This record gives sequence, structure tokens and C-alpha cells, in this order.
Amino acid sequence: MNLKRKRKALPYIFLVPAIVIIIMIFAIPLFNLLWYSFAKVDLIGNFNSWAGFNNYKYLVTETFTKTLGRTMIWVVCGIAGIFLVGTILALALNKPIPGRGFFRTVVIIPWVIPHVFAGTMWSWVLNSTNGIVNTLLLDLGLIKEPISFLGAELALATVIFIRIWKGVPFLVMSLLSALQTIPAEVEEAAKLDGALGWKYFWHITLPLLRPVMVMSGTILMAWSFTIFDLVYVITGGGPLNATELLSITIYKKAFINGDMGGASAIAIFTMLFVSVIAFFLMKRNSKEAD
Amino acid sequence: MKRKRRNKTIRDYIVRYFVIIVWVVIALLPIYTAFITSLTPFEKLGERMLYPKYFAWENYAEVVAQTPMWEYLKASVIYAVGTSIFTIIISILAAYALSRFRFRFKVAFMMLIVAIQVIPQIVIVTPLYGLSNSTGLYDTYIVVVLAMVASAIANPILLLKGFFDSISSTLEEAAAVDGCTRLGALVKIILPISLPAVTTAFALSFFTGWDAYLYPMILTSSPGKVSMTVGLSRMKDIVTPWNWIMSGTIIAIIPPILIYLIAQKYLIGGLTAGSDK
Repeated sequence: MNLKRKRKALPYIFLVPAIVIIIMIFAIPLFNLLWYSFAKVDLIGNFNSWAGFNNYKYLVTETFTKTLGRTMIWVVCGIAGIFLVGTILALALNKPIPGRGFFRTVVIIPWVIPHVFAGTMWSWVLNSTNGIVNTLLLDLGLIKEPISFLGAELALATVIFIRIWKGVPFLVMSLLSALQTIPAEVEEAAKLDGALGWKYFWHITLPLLRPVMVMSGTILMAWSFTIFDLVYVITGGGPLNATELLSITIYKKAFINGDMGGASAIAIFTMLFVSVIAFFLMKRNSKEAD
Repeated sequence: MKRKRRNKTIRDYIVRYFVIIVWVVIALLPIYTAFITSLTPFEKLGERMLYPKYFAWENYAEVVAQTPMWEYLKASVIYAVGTSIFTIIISILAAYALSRFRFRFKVAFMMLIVAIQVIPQIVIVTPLYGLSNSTGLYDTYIVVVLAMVASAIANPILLLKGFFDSISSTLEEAAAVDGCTRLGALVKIILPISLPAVTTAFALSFFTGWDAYLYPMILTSSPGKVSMTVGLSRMKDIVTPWNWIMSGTIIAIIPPILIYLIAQKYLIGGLTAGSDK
């Protein structure tokens, strides 16, 4: 009897460390975040007084709606770019081609470069006075004046480009392993039916890749919504708020203005927003898989 | 007929090589530029260079001598290695439980693991800052490591569970007959076979730990706990010469690239093991 009970407890014992970490780092902070968002708290989270929905008032200001719109542009354009480039690359790398092993290794490299260093290197590459891209374009006579990639007009487009650079390899890896699972007979059969090229991709490859695409897309979406380091290191949210995304607003509210309640309200909103989108994407996917 | 097909293959190769090479150039451009700049003397930074003309290796010596680069490196190693070790141990245990046992909250736990992947650091960091202050963990290595472990843990658990599922349990049953405990069987029998998956899990969590920026920036304050990420971004903000920043950046990206090259034959299949379920 005792032995049986011990055996029953065993899986839970194995899970204890994971559960402790999840409670410590996710559950308790998320719980605190929730009540912070309805309270006045000092920098280290000491309770002052309840604030009702006052902290949430910022969410209906024009500054915030603009930030949200900017973040949507960043997410949608970033993911569209990642999918476009990533799918083309994965298809190019899928079939045997001389040097494929080498190229597969190199293609993935941006993925292992930490966001901060990616940001620092690209800031230098795109630097308006000495950056290699501007000097090249000037030398080739394609432009007369250096392009200010990180100026107010282009900064958002530039960080989106760098986001795409960093995100493509993840999708390529996901798609490559999914493409490997498509049986060779499928292609044989399609060839006999004369379905080749674009038609083959559209009617056969794409539907088979769909589950993986939705899964990777959901994860990329959630990450994109809240990426902080990459943009913060390159622009700090500027110039003139041109690249101020949700994550940067949360950071500034909390650690520059010291408004923990306000930051928490935005964080709660972000969390809910991302969860709802993720939930619907995944749900649709599992429904269609049945 | 045959010739037509051959032409088609050649055209196919050209298109594919074109796509691949354009991407490779874009992928490597910042790293290549950073490397050239790291070898350029300060007064020559304005020159246009497509290939290295100068070999000012002293930039590396100077940046190490003039900035707390060793301290940054030490802190980054502690964060990354600490994150990997904790992540591996915790995820091996959890994955084994999920793979070998049937218990009540198994499905709920699996869903929880998938869900924590989307909890962002920027959302957690505000309350975590308060929590680390009230528990006395503020400005310690361990608080950063634990926080990074939480960010790193989901993928290794899913990955290792998938791998353990593919190992038949007959070996463990034989071991159990010989009086071996479950933990003993896991360590002596399962782990040696699972080396590819464990390597992948190690690499993934090392990347997460090395990438840490927000947590060390907010949760620590003493100079010895500044990581490469935080240190270099501050150097950039206080307008340090670009050749130094680039030398520092090259030093900073070597460890993850090396680990990637060593582990890469396992990585590509491993990363997505959880997501096709």
C-alpha cells in the first residue's frame, strides 16, 4: 500500500522543480502584476492605496493608441516579412543541392546572435555617416546624400527589417523539418497528375505546412509583440517616439517614470491581447486539423 | 526530352542558389562588417572598406584593458552556464515524468508548458523587481539565472519528452528487475542514449542565458553583475569608439556561434520537436 502510494507520487516529485520555477517566476509575479494594476505602489512594489481603474486610463489616451498601432505595424510587417523570406528560403534549401549542408549552417546564424549584439552591429552597418551600406550606395552613385536609416521617417522600417533578419532562421528551421516529413510519394503522385511548380506548392506543400506555420506564426507573433532588447538597443524608442513599441512603453513607465501601477496596467493589457490572439490562432488550427 | 529536363534542373539550381546567396550575404553582412571594423584603427574609421585593410589586433587588447570586459564576460558566463545547468536538470526530470508516467494533471501540465512560452519578460520584470527586493534576492546572480531558466524551460521539456517517448521502456523494466530505482534508470540508461536531445537542450538554454539583457539590467545593480549585453549597450550609449564596440561585439558573439557549430547537427531537428504535436 505504502509502495503504491509512493509510486503514485513519483511523477509529481519529478515535476516539483519545474513547478517551483513556474510559480516563483511566473505565477506569483503575474498575480502581483494584477493587483499592482489596480493600486498605487512604490518602485519596489509596496502597497500605498487602491487606485481603481485609474492606472488603466492611460490605455484610452491617443499616445497609447498610437503606440498600439505602431506595435501592430511592427508585428504584422515583421511576421509577413519573416514568412515571405523564410518560406522561399526553406523551399530553396529543402531539396539536395551541392553545398546544402554548409548553406543550412550559415543561413541559421542570425538566430544565435543575441538581440543586443544584433542591434549594435546593425546600428553600425546602417550608420548614416560611416556605415557600410551608405558608403556603398554613395560610391555606386545610387544616392547623393546618406540615408538616415535611424531617423524619424525610416527608423520603424529599419527595426522591422532587423527583426526580419533575426526571425527568418527560426521559421526556416521549423519549415525544413516539416518539409522533411512530406512523403516522397506525394510528390511522385503530384508529378504524374501534372501538378508542378507553383500549383504544386499552392495545393500540396502549403496545406501540409499549415499546422507548423500556424504554430511558428503564433510563437513569432507573441515574441514580436513584446520584443524589447532589439529595438531598445538600436533606438531607445526614438527618434520622436517613432519606434516606441508596447514593450518600451512598459519599460519607460516602470523604470523611468517610476509608475509601477501604470506599467502593470499596460502589461496586463498586453498579456491579455497576446493570449487572445494566440488562443484563436491555435484553436482554428486544431479545428481544421480534425 | 532528357535535355529539356536537364535544362530545367540547371535553371532550378540557379534560382535556388540566387535566393540562398542573397540571404547569406544579408545574414553575414553585420558580422563581417563588425569584424572589419574591429580591426580598424580609430583614425581610419571613416575609410570605406569592403575587405580588411588594417589588422589592428590591438583594438581587442585595448578594449579588454580599458573597459571591464572580463567582468562582463564572467557575468555572462555565469548567467548562461547557470541557466543551462538548471534548465537541463529541471527539464530532464519533468520530461521523464511526462513521458513515462500516467497521472492526473498531465494534460494540464503540458498545456501550461506550451503556454508559458508566450509569457514575455517585459511583462514579468516589473513585479519580479518588487519580488526580488522583498525576498532579498535583488542584485544576486541567482535571481537572474532563475528568471532566465523560466524563460528557457519550455522548449527543452517538450523536446526531451518527445525524445524519451521514442525510447522503448524495456531497458528500464530490465533495470527495475535488477533493483534499479526510476531515477537510477533515468541517469544510467536513458540519459546516455539521449545525448543528442540533451545537447540540443543545453545549446538552446545557453543561447537564452547569453541573450539575457532585461533581467540583468533591472534585477542587478553592482558592477560585477553587468553582462556583456548590458555592458556593451552602455558602451554604445556613452559614445565609445565604434572599433572598440565592434571588438567587444565580436568577442561576445563567439561563444554562441561556437556552441551552435558544435551542436548544429542536432539543433535543426531538435528545435521544432515540440511544435509539430
